[in-house]
Amino acid sequence: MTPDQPEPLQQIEQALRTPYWHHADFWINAAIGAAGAIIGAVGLYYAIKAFRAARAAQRAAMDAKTAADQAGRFMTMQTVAIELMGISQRLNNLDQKIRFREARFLLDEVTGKIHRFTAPFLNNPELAPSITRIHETLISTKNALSGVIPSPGEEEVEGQTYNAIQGETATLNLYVNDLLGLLEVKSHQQLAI
Amino acid sequence: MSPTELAAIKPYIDRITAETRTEQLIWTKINPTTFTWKKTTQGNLEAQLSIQKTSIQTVALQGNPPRPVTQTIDNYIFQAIEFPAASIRVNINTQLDPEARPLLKELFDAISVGADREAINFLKRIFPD
Repeated sequence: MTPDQPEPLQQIEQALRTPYWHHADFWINAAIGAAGAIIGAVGLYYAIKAFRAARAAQRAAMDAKTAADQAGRFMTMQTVAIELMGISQRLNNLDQKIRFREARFLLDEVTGKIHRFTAPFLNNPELAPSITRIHETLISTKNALSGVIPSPGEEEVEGQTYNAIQGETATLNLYVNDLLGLLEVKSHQQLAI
Repeated sequence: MSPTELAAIKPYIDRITAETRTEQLIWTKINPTTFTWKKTTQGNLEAQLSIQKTSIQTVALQGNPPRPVTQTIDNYIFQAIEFPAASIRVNINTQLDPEARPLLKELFDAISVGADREAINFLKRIFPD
């Protein structure tokens, strides 16, 4: 600093010569910046932690849904297997003296139940062929029964209805038992998971 | 049914078939696949013959991997019932006695032709030329 300089310039020069860290402003800004960085880092940490927790929760929810679906399928298979056993027993005990009217009721009931119980598995590639065979045999049984629709005023001959449908019902029973076996295998596979 | 029994019954079935063809026996269609013929003596039902045609499905495993394949076979059931006891005196089921199938098929075809002829005669009666 030269003595002949005006005082304001001297003050500016003085200010420029002083190191910046000697200024309070610097430290205030540095402190604010550091605090911001710390807050940002903490925020990022908690954001990552929250993201991981959400992802774990999502995985847990999906696992729970899968488990629930598998349990639901298992229960459905078990229920269907029990119902198919009942149908199989009814087909097995076909009365030789069955009349047309009784046979028609039986076939309607069995057809309705089989369609209801097999509907959830129609898209299952392992079960679909067996289900298709059952449905086809139901149609041929219906056709066989149509062959003994009594003519008006005519008496039924004993055994005619049984003779007409016993072959088809035996085949139907066979295919129902095939499906029953497949469902049992799949149920055991579900249990093993 | 033993071959001896079948041989003993065959002449009667042949006679029934022949008398059906000559319209001496008129059968009644009691449903689309069953016909009956009734013999009455002094107004009382003495005997009834019935013949029924059914289709039997057989299932066999074929191919590799094995898959169930169904085949349909025509089956005939012939019964002779004695009244008033309604006891079955003759019962031939071609599912059990396949050797009787040609015999009963011939009878069933003869009855069917007769039934068709009767239906046409009926139409001719109600729509005369």
